[in-house]
Amino acid sequence: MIRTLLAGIAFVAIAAAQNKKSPADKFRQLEEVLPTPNDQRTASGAPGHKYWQQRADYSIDVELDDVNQRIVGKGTVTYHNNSPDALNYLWLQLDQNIWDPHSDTYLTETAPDWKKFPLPAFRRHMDDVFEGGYTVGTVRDEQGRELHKHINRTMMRVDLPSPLAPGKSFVFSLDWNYKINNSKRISGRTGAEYFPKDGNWLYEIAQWFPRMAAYTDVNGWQHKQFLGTGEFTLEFGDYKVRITAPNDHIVASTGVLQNPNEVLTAVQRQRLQQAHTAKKPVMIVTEAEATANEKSKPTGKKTWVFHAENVRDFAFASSRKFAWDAQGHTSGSNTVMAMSYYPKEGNPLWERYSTHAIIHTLNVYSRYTFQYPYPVAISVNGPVGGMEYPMICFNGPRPKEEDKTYSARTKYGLVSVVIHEVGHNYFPMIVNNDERQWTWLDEGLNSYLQYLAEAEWEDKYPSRRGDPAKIVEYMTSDSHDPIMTNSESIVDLGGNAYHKVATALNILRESILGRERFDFAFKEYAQRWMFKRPMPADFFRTMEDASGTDLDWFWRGWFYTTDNVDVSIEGIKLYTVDTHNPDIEKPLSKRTQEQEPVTLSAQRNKPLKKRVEEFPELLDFYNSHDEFAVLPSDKKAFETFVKQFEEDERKLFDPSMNFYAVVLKNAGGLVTPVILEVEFSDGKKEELRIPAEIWRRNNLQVEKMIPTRKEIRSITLDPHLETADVDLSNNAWPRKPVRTKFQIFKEDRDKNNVMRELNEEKKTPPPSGGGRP
Amino acid sequence: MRLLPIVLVCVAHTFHVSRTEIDLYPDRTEIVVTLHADDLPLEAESESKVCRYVLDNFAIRDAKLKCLGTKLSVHFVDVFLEGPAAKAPLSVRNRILSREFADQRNIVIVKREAKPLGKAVEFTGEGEWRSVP
Repeated sequence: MIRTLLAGIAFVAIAAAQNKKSPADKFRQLEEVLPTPNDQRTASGAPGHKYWQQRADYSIDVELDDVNQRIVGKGTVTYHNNSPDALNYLWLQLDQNIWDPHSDTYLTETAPDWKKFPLPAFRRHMDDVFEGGYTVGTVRDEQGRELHKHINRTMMRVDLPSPLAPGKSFVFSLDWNYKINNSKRISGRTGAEYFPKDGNWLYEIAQWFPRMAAYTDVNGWQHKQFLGTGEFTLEFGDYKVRITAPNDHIVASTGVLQNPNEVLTAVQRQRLQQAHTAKKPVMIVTEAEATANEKSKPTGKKTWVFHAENVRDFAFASSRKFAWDAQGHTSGSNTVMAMSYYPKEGNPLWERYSTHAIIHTLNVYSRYTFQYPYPVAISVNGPVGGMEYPMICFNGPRPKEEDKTYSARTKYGLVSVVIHEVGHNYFPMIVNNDERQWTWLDEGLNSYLQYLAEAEWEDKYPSRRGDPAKIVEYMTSDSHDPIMTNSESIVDLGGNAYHKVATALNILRESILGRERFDFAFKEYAQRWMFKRPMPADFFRTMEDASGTDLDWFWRGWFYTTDNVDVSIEGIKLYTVDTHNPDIEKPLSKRTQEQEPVTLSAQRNKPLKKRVEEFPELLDFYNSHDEFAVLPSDKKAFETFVKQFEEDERKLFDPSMNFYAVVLKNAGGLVTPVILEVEFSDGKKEELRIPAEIWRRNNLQVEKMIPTRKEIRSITLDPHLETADVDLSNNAWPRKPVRTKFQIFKEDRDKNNVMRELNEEKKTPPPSGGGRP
Repeated sequence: MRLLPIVLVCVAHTFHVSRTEIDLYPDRTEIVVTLHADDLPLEAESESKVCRYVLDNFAIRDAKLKCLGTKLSVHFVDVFLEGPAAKAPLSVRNRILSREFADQRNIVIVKREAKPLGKAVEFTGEGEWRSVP
């Protein structure tokens, strides 16, 4: 126990000790790192009064060649130059060129692990080459004059006859074709799946036309080549697309079908009408009808016409295998058709869960951002594991083919991936961030909202990402990168751009800002940048501006470093008030002395006969004097001491007050709020929630004072596991053993054995498992 | 050198990591291998198959390991192994899922009585024996 004078000197000494080892300033403002605000992007994180973005409208005719698995297209692009700059040329993106045999994607592949040569790469090197990539025909202006083009790998420059002035538009046309990748051989975000049992194909078609590259106030023309990881940076526009497919196909697409009378049967149209106001999904094409359709042969072609307004991309799916269900949903003043398309191989999972998951996503996401503005939201089952496009997404999970059963993992995998991919309509399809540069700005924000949506699906939903305790593994791994790492350079994309961001935002919401402030700021960001292109600084600044909180330390630590949270309770000191009152202090000193341990020698010497007992005349004053007796001089000294203070100040000398100092060490580097659960000797508990700014003067070690009249029995740091602390073994005073996974497993196993024993005693058969989960 | 082509599987999640914690006690060695259930090339629910698979692909030199069982929590499988007492540094082989996924990462962490001993070690999956702290 340490006793000290309750006066300025003692506490100044502690504060000075904290300042001595002042390390790097983790609370330094980010203004030297973030771009300087300007008229396009303000210091508050909002679009500036001179914000601009380009626009591109498309009119396309495309044919799906089901015999040769090819896309053949031609179209007209109307490019609107809303920038203040005159443009001499336009850049387009040719994403299919990553499958050109000579692409940078292949050239920059590093050597494989020789004992596990990936089959697609093996095929390529064994001359079984997939001849992917675009063949682009002549590019012509509105008058039919040929325009010079230059292809630079996954990008194509079109030279303009004269500079395109600000505020002007330019119309040009082109044609193209390419071979569709067979997903079994080369998987990707798009592709075709072959079903050998019935001989049919299912197509999920994306990145299928030359798309305008983005021209922005931040980077000029987007000039990072597509290598396969960093996704897309696109401009908004209106699309008119005519998709020609075999006449027994069902086509699902971005946009609204313009010619239902030409492509749907009367029964299908009537069911679709019914679905608009239905309370449950309505089958437009039943599984039985789809199965019957599998056996058909096309007798010709049909052209499906779709229009989509204000979208940044366009995708579609097509097959004669599709079952199709739909249900109308109201999002604010907007009526949305939620629809799912799937082959019979997707059932019974898909007809039960997909459309429900779409509507659930629209409900939850709209509450945290803005009302879903598009007329349809579609989920398609096919070869792509999970990929998003405006109004339509592709999702992979299916039951087992042989018996149609499925595991809990598959079921929740489907619900989660539908939530995630439909959720991408909000980020980045509407809040149009630059994915080629920053994957996290949509994947991370979307994973965070996915976590919220899963929590509202059912109790104890097995979410993979969002709970702070689940990120610990990544935060301590060798593959941990800063979140602010370019999309193509991230080692562990899932851990970094999805998981770490979702967790960081969850911590920011629950433990730093609180739900009300966070939700307001997050919605403000979504609404400010709806149909615009935000950059990371716009997100950071808006969250601070709208929450009224300086979060530079949070972005710096969580987004720019690989530090982790590891706070340790190093010890506890107790200070009590020195009253100087001899009537209080001397008995206290006596008790303290009596409580001191008796040495082993003293214990063993105690029974020895002492000389003073044999010769009592050897005893004198000092043998009988009580060193803790209060002397007149003590009382006088106290009176002199007390006179220094006013009457009200004297009341502060309360001997029952305890001042505990909890010594906290920051072993992980990330500064973080400190949450302490204090248990007192009477068994009562109190929670102390200390903002992260406690670390602002010394981010390595601090002491926190806890004044109380009670005695503290124990202290637990981060009792609700809300900070992603990577080492729980140092989170308690006194130290508590942390049960390892192994111990928990063994204990559970022992419990199971007890059950088994009891069951055996009762001679009853164990409970039977099995059946469809 | 013989080449073994493998099939790449397209799955919704984008990373393949297994994490193995080896905890050394004076009288025994406890090992927990954590895998993503979707990655397993066999039934995650089958304790015996998962045990056999992990024992075939993970080893500590000169230590006979026993699989006590598995625990499946929807997305992840924990596999519990036990062996005789051993001292760090250990010689370890870890090629779990390395044939299934080209980007497989196997992270091994060694602890003594639940306290980490140095940095985690990452295995490339070539089946080599490596010293871990």
